[in-house]
Amino acid sequence: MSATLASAFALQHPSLLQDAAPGPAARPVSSEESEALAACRRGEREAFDGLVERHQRDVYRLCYRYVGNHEDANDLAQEAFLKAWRGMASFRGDSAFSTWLYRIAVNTCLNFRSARRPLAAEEPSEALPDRGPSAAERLVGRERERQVRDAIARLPEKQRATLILKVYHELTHEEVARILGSTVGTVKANLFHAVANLRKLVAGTAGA
Amino acid sequence: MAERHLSDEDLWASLEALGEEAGEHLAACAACRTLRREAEEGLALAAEGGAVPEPSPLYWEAFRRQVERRIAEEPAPSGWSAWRRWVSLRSLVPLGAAVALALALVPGLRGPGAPEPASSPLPAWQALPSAADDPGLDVLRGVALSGDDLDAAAGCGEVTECLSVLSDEESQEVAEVLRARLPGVQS
Repeated sequence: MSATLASAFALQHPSLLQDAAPGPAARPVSSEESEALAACRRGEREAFDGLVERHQRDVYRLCYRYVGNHEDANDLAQEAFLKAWRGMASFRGDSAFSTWLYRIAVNTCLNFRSARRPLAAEEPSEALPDRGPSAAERLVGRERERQVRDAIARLPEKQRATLILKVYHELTHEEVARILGSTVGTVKANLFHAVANLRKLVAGTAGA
Repeated sequence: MAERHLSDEDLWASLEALGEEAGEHLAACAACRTLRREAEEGLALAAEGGAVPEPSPLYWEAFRRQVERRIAEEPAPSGWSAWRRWVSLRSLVPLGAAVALALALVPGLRGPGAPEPASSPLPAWQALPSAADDPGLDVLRGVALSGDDLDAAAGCGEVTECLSVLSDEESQEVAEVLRARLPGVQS
């Protein structure tokens, strides 16, 4: 395997392998956000509304990727924000607020899955952009999406969390490590296992 | 070729940027090449499963309002209330100590003519045993049974009055009578 292949892959999937640019969880804290955080620490609820607006999409998507349906993702995302509000006094600003928020969201999702219902995958919305020129190709694409989502849902927790944060949320290894309370080396190893297991699981589903 | 195979971490790193050492090993090691290829395929698969249907723009507004409403129903965050409680308690201790010290050192601060607190006597009923546990009642009951003679001797109307005014000799006599009539009573 040559360096050319890796480069070609990176060109094909540019967002998957980037590590230099900070992801959503490392968005620099704007002065506006700093003020909002300070106001939240003083107990001003209105200030938290701005933070919700800024981060709600990322948190919702993270939750959706864990549970695979809108209703649970909505509940979990709200729960994550509530927990963030309750714990605002403990946020010291050692990491970006978004990293801290992601960590809360990941833990909320992990607890939800282990404590409540099993993951219920949902058919993709008709509003999704077309992925192929024909209806048949779209159908195949949707089936493949479903297989991949199901396979991701069956990955061990750490591998799953690592894959979602790194591949879909485009965080750096350092950010993922901080969110999961892990090390960069462990994150890379978990990613390797995650993609290898994903391939096996999808192959097993396709062959069944 | 290096003797050791690439670690999982190295294999993932090789997907991101192939280092010289890893490249040499991969070129010579079919096993590691297979692992890396499988990881590449898995990564490509992952790219196909990450789509999240975008909710309507109205949803985000509703989401924010919902979070806002739930937060409004929340009590103050525990961290703040604990901090405030800590602050209030911590500030009350030295404040109270300062006030007590000032009152002790400056008599004028206690107010004009403030009477010294008198020690209140213990209520009688608190010092007595209950009627069921009081052996003295049996003694008095025995005295009351023989009260006619004593009343006549002392010339008083009530047994209790007679008992209270008896001399030492009379008390001794009463005790002898009691011993005779109540053998169980110790002197």
